[in-house]
Amino acid sequence: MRTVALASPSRSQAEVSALRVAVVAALSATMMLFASLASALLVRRAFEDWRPAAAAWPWILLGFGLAASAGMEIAGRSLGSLRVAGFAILGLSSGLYLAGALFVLGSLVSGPYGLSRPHDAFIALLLGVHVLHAILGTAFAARVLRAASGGSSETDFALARLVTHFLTALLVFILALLFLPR
Amino acid sequence: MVEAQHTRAPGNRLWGFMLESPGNGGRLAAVFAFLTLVFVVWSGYAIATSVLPPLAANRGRIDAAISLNLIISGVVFLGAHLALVLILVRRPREARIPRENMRIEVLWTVLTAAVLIGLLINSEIDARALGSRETGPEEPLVVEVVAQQFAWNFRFPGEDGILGRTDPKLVDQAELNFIGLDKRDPAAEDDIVMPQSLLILPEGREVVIRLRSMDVIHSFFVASFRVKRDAMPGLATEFSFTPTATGMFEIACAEHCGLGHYRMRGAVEVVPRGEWLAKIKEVTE
Amino acid sequence: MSRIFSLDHRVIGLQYLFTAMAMAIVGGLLALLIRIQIAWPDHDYSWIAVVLPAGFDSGIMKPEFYAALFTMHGTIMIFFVLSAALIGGFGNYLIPLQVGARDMAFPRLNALSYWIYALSSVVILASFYVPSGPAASGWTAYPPLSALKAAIPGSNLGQDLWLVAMALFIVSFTLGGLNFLATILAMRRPGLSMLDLPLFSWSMLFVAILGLLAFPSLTAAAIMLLFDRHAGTSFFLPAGVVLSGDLIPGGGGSPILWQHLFWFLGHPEVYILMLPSLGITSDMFTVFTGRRVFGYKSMVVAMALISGMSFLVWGHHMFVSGMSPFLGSAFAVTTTLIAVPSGIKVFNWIASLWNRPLRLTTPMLWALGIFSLFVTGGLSGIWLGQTQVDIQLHDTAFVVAHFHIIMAGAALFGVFAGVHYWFPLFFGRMMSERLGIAHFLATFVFYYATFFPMHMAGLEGQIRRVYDPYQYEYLKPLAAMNGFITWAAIALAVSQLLFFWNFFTSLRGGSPAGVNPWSAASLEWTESESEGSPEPGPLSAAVER
Repeated sequence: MRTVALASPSRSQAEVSALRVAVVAALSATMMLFASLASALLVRRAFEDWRPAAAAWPWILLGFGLAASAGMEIAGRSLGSLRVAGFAILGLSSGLYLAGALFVLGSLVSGPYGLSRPHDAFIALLLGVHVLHAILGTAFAARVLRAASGGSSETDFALARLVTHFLTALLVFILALLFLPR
Repeated sequence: MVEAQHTRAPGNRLWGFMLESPGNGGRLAAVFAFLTLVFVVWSGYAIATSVLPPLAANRGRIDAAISLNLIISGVVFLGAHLALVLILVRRPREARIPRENMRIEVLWTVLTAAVLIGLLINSEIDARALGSRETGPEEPLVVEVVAQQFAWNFRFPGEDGILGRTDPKLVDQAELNFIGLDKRDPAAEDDIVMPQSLLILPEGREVVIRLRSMDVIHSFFVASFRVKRDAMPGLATEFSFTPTATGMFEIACAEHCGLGHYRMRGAVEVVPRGEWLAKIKEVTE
Repeated sequence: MSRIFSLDHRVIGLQYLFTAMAMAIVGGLLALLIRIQIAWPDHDYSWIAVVLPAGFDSGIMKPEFYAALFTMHGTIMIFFVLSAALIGGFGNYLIPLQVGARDMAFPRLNALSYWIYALSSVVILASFYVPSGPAASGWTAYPPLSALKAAIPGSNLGQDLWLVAMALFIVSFTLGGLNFLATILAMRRPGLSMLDLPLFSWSMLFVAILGLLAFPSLTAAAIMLLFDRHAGTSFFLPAGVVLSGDLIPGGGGSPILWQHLFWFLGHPEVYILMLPSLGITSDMFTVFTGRRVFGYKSMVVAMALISGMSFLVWGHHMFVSGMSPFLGSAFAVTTTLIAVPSGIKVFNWIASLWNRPLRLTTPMLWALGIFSLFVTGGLSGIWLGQTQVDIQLHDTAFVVAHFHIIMAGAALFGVFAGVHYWFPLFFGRMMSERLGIAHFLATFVFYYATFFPMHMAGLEGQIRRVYDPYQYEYLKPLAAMNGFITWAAIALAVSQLLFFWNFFTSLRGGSPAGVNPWSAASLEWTESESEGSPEPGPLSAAVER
């Protein structure tokens, strides 16, 4: 995937490589975390008291997530004001996603059943852990893009994109697990 | 790289042999080797003469498997430690042991795998045999075992062969209804509820245990019967065995279940067949 | 101040090592208290109650305190001592040196890892001072015991602090793992192939991968347990639980789910503890026979197989939980077959030593000790891996013997080997060989004297985690054996004073070490500086590959 970027000569090949290894390793660990949570859900879903409730908010959050990824793509492929626009979309969508997710979590917890119903419990669990990773991942992507001197290098963009798209894909996975019929 | 100087010491061959061991202390090697030998002899003897609690059920396959493992692991244990002792005391010869030898590696790998696969096949055969019911005309005796903090509850289904309904909401410790038996259920009328932590079984008749827990995870363990199964809350598991000897046997809880875990002791009394019903009536009066 | 928050991997490595040593003293004392109670349950321990009044009632140890003892002993030793010392300590100090890098890939992240670990240690120690006591559900924390506050006193705040400490520890370990992977894979000196690395470095690579992929399972389980405890969920709590006559509302969850998630980490974790010692042993054999181990590449493959297969065996901890016989058979197969690569290592070690001149230095003695422990402990593991044998031996002292010999023992001996071996690198001085030899011989004898008889106790039916075994008639004959074991444990503990004496007096008074006192060929010795990258030392060329 070609990105329009400036090379950063101050960082050695090894350091770049190291960052890449670390990011891939971290994403693998995150994947294992969600795999464990997903396996717990699959086990629980088979019990007879599993009653998923239909709702609109999954679509809204999904929209924000996809928009964030789209913004990252735009930023990566352009220069100048279009890049700034991309970052703006990324930032705005991420913020809206976080706000929305926290709102969903809050209303579940303060609702009449709390988290006692298994479907609600898993929504809180998966969404909550995802929000945590979204905060970490967004902070990382922002740092990586800002830290490189001058413009951001191709690698920085590649890593930031990887993290962003990974988080979005994870969101799709979670929502599918929670809301698609078995 | 360090090359040891080897010279033949005059005098006593054994002592010279040991002093010639390489390393910065031939005596050290000897001491270590000696300690290893003492350990091997002591531990080998101790474990070979240790005794399982006397077997009182039809699960002697487990004993046989343990003996088999003892022999096989004994050979490897002795062999490896003998190698260690020899390495320590033998005078090294600049032999032609290459740094790699695929053939020998494959050989001992295959040998190890073969022995292990043998053990696995034996384990599978045993597991199936132990898990299967006896084929015979007699109906097994069903016993429900319900574990709680910190006692064992036993119940027979009575003549109708059906265990009455239980409901956690009906648990009443003051009324001694520890398992929440629904007395209104007709099937519960002839259920025989034993006094807590006492089980009486007839000798020679197959028993099917239906095991569950009221609260946390416990584990039903009777060492003499070679029986152990976790008692899970929310899940009932089943297993079977046949007592083959009369006497009193202790039930231990084998899963940490709280501060009373150590005193969650029960008793299984196995009586001759003819006396069983009478014994039950005696204790449930 | 900048020295304390140093970013230098060597300082960080030593910080881990010293913290681990302090935690080891705590963990060891807990073990002694456990042993004293098992051997002599009805004794008056008023003299200990002076120091620990919360755990005793008129001189008699409280059962809930005993439960907290074995819980905290296991937790502290496994995570806060052995993982910290071998991986945080040795790993941090040596990986950059052995791969020819200037420092770890991310020095700030490295410092952060240490301080998070230090914080987690404080949290776990703090849990001792909570009024309801520290966590007491075992290091395995099975729910519902760990989920229901009324099930045991330690399941109140103590369990929460345990979960918080574990969460912090896992974060620390994960950050460390990222650093290790990035450094080993991407920051190696140009021209240095993976196959040039000492087996210790390989073990750090595998340990990092295992940790990154396995710990998340415990993280997931811990989050769910926190939810069950505080958020009204029922991930692990089934319906209809009646605790002391009171019906617990909610439910529908599965306690067995916890066991699967826990052991999915738990089993790789024990290999995380064992692999560094396996690497150290091979490297000690290399240095002190003057020749590379027999079958270096096979050793790497064996470590890789052990690591990979460690993910497939977790169910053997659950053979008697009532899971399906098919699953039981499957796990029996994988568990037993993991002995194959382990066997390769044993045979290769014998071939490495056979007919070779040995330099019996203290590190070499410890490596030989690891060889013995690995054989003994590995064999008892094969017993336990067969489902029918496990029925009789699960949750008995036999299991305690098994894992203390292979995991705890091999890891502990690895720490001693590493400290003696790398002391001159860390501090520029040699430790006393005489004290080292005495310490080794005493520890070797008393370690086996303590743990080998537990095999017999287990065969004779002694259950684990039991405050007073002699409540059972059939266990009363074991009183003498338990007494013997406890005396051996006390002797073992006292022997460790030799190590601490040796260590601390050698810091100042040890004979000054040369640049490469062991005549080793790995880079941490042959480099004269950690800055820059001089050519490999003359000795490295002399060691045949």
